Amino acid sequence: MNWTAFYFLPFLILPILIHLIGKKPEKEIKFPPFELLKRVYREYKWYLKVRNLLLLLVRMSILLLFIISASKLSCGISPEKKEGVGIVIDSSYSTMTFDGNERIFKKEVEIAKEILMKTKDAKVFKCSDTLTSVFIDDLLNEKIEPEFKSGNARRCYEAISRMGFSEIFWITDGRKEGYEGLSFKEGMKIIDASQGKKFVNAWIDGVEIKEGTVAIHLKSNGKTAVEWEIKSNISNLKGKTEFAGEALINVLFHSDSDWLAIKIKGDALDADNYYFAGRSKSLKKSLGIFNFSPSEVPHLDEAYYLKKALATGEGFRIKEKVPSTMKGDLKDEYTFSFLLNPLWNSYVKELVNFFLNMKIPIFISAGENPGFKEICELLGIKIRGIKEVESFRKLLPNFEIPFFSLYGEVFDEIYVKKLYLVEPSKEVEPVILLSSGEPILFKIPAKNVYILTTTADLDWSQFPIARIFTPLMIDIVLHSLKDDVKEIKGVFSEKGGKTIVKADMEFSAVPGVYEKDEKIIVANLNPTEESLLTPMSSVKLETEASKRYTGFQVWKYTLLFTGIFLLLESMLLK
Amino acid sequence: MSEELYLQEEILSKAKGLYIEARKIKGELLTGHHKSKIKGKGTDFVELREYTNGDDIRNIDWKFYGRSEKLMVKVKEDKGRIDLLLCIDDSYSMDFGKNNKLEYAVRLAGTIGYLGVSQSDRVILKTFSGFPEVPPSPSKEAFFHFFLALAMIKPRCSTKPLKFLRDFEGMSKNLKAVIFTDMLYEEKIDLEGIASIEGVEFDIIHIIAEEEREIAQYEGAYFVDPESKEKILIEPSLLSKYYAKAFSDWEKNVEKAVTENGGLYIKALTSTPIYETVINYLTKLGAKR
Repeated sequence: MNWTAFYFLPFLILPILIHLIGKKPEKEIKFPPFELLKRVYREYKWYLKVRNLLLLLVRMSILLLFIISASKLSCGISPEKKEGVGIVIDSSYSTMTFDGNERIFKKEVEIAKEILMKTKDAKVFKCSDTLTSVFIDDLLNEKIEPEFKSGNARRCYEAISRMGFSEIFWITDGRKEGYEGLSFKEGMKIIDASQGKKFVNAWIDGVEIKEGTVAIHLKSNGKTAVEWEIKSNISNLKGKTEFAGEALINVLFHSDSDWLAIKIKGDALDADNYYFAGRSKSLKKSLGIFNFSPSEVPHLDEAYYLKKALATGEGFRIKEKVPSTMKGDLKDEYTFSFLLNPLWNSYVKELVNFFLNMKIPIFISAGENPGFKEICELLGIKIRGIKEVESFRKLLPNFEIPFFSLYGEVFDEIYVKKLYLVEPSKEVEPVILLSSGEPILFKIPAKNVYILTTTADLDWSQFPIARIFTPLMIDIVLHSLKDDVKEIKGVFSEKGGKTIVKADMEFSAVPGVYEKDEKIIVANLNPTEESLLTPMSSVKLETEASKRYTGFQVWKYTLLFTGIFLLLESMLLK
Repeated sequence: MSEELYLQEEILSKAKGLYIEARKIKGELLTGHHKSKIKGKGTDFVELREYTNGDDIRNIDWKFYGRSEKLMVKVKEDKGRIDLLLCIDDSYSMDFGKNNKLEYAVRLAGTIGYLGVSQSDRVILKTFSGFPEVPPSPSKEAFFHFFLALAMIKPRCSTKPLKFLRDFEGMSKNLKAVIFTDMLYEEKIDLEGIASIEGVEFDIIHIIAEEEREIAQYEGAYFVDPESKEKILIEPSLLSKYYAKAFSDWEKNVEKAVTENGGLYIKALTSTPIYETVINYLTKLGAKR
């Protein structure tokens, strides 16, 4: 609807004015048969009046119909899907960012609902790296969540542009991944749910571990609040503070701690980026820095590596982004080994032995290649055989992963056709068990090895390439660091002043930034470029949403009638 | 207007051999020409009447003058001669048309008058307004005054039309009134009254301008009554069809009324050449070559 057209409604009075004022002739004709003419005029006066009235009504109708046509008025339900509106909600991970007390994603959802109410006939999608259809009810009941994926607007746009929507509303948080690559053209409206805000970014500028103290240097480009959590094998500290510019958190650090993990989160911290780093005290080497930032390791890239691994039998390391604050020689030392459907040869054997000796965590997924069975043998695990299953979910009616941050629902989309049956043993610690008792994921704690009993082959399972893979890996890595914790006191100081923060003992397995051992292995939380989009005001949004011609397009018919009435007018004039 | 206007050679040559004649005399309808084709004076004395300018002095009753010192003229009946009364409607309504109706009427009257004089009829010119006053033109010599009078005719505010015809009642046995009019009067021409005047027969030459018949051409103009100055604003294009029919009906009604009252009706469109109208008129009178 284009309401502007209705501003021209007062022009309806024009025909009346023309009829009232009329064109006064300047000429006078001295007409001899005047009386005769007057008689004819009197006789047909009624006819002239009716005709003039009709003409007036027709002219007013023409104007009215034209205004309605210009407004592109629509009502009811669209007979053609093509005329509908597509609403795309950016659901990439960055939309979890808070704006005030509300997540950007929630704002996006509200905007989507608003557009939906205005346009009546619309189809809703969410977009991260792929485009996914959303049920209207889920949107209205706000039952949709952001995804652990980075945005790939270009790909999503290519998908939706083929659906033939007349209008597309693209709601994003303003981060470039959310809109980059969109074809800006008529019928495409990009709505910045952040309203063009430059979010306050905060990042860890550095972490310094001194005798008995851990000093965390924080920086931000504005006033913000952060929650921090520092975990070691004997402690778990939590605190929250507000700061602007720079801040320093000093935490008492017990020298007996074997490792230290630090997690800092806050509205200003980009939730897109999760980094993990670990270091072995005994080996004086980095045990692993695990960057499983969904936005930095897009799902399909991950699949690419997995495919590559499947093809070559090589393990691979995910090191897509080296944190900017990483110090010198640590850069190349982080690793987490993946052996997916491995081959078996001397090289693989040597590699596995190296990982085991170095206590580098290994993730192995099953497959048809002989490598899996051989490695299992090497690890002392016996394989009973391969089981054909119908549905993963069916086998897990009461799915529970006690120590994972992931909910059972995210496994709904996983299907498994085949899996290896593992002989129970003392060495094996099941992580995810099927209802029949067979582990689908188990751990060999002594060797820091995790084994998935299915493969990333569509004939077997799509588990390793499903979207939950990344958060699961994060959980696995964190799980590998799990240990008992004890309460200690923490000290927080914001430059110039000191604040004692009482730590609580709550154990956290939420992904975050961690450090192990004494070395600084903390990652930058990556201040991203914030919205470069011009925000769409609520008034404009309402206008844009309202003027979309969805449903029964009245305006087309009024345009037709305008033509008919014009014809009628010319006939009346004749 | 000059004399040449009325007496174009073309008209005269075409009218040659045609005569103006009375259709009825003393109530009898004649279908032929004059009783006598003798041009000149009659022989049967009828009465005396007062001398008027232009009367032949040879008709003055000198004996009567000797007795009463009043100049009286002997009126004699000439069975072959008629008194041709040409009545021109000089009302404002006649002043209309590209071919002006009044001018057309004047030219027509001039031509017919000339033909009348040529056949030794007495020609009398009258206008509806009464101006100018013109003496009868019994001779070719006095006919000069007739032309002068024609030249002086111009549109005037009309008086009660044709009342003067009563003055002729009984004065002439062969009075033929030829009335040039557009029949557009506030006060209708009393055709019945004219018809009832003894010794007078009348012909109506209905002058119509083409522009009167079609009003669509006057889009965007007020219509003004030339007589009363009243005006109305209409949309000619809308009424054109109805008006054309009304005008046509009116023409027929006029013709019917004239005919029913014993008059001869001639429709004269100003777009029609004068000679055609004259010949048409003479032909209808029953004249023969």
